[in-house]
Amino acid sequence: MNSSIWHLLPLSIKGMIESLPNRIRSQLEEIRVREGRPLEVITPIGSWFISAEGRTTSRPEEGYCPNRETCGKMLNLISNHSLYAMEEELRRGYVTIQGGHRIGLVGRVVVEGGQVQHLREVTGFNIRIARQVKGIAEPLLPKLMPRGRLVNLLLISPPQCGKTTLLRDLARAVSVGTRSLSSQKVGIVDERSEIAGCVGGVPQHDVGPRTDVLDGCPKAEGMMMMIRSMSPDLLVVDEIGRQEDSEAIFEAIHAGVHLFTTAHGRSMEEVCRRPALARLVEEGVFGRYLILGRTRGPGTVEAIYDERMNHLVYKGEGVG
Amino acid sequence: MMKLIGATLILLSSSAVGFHIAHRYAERPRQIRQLLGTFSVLETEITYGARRLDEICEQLARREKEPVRSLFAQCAKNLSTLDGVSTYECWQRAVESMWPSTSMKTPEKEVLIDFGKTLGVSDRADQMQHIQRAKVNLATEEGRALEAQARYEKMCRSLGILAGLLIVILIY
Repeated sequence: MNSSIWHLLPLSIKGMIESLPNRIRSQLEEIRVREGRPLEVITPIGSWFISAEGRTTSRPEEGYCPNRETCGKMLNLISNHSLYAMEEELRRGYVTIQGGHRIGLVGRVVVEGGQVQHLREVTGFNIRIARQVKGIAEPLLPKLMPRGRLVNLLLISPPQCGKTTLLRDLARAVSVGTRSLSSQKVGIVDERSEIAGCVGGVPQHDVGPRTDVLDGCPKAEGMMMMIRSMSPDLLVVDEIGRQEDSEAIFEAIHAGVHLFTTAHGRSMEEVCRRPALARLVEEGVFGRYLILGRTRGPGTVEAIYDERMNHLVYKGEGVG
Repeated sequence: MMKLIGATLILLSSSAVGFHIAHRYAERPRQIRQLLGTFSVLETEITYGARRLDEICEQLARREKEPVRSLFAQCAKNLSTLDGVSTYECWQRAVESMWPSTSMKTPEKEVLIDFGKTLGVSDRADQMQHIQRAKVNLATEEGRALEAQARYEKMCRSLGILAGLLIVILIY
């Protein structure tokens, strides 16, 4: 597993994770540390609690429970003893670390004037291990770019089906250029630091040589900033759904910029029920719709539709 | 002849002791001032730069002179190698390990140790408050140290020489 995660774990937990069988260790998706409750690991093949001897178990009472000291140590390691430098992260509830991995944090929230100020007494950590899977977009490209032209694309998928992974690889492929399409300027507005996984403004994932990333920026505002300042051919944005997002999208496509974006959902019908998205679909903004699922593992392409909702046949594999 | 050499030796060594004690009186305010300087850097780097504590400590260790250098060098080392033990403990250990090599006294040490309890564990506004409080306390100690220096530095030097002379006269 990745070394940038190792040095965030206190020695006791590190030892347990290290002694896991390789089959589990190499596929880790999440490590969950909760104060006073058993340590848990999650992989695509199942989730387990970890006992103090480093064995996997499905019974919570056998699991090793990290105490306050261990959680404190973990927070010190994550923050590098500098909580003051994490104010923004504590407000958002997650930290992106080197390698593009993300750590979700929960604890006691301090509210001021109805707004979340920061987290105090952080007692729960969710280490989400990011895996870039390069090349998963290649087989899809001919279907998504009719006659070698960029069209606006909406990726639809439930959580944890490889939506962001696919979006990242699409951005990379367009930035590098493909057989039918020459390389293009790409602009990523990465509100939650998930697509490029920036640390200190530098993308930790390979998003292509001609890609600019606006990290931690609200989507609607970021799209306009990107268009004004970086003149991208393609805008890549994660998880649209609010009203102001769709307004910004109209602005963007009328400025002659193409757009790859994603939305949570299981099917076209579900997406059309959300007002902000329904309008985009009705106006025919998108040239392609791609629906992901996990019928054959995460990243299974369930269907691709064109702008008139014709089903395009695609026999795909699970893409991670 | 032997007597003369002996007398010189006594005089020299007693003066040396006097000068050494006087030097400590002169060094104490200088070192406190040096600490005050580093606290100003700490304040800027934490409140405006929001840089990581271990990076700030390393930077301070590079630009400062001994003995403050080793305080920050040790602290940076503790922060990055001690498996996430509390920031206070890293700081406290660093203070304890450098203390024998300083001319500073207990009040300053207490200010430093006390300051460590709040280092790094709160938001920027709070950090600034604590740093400023520590600076005020250190400045008070500096005032006292300067006073002591004015009062005792010369005296120690003269006493050293005079005591040597006294012994020589008595022996003769």
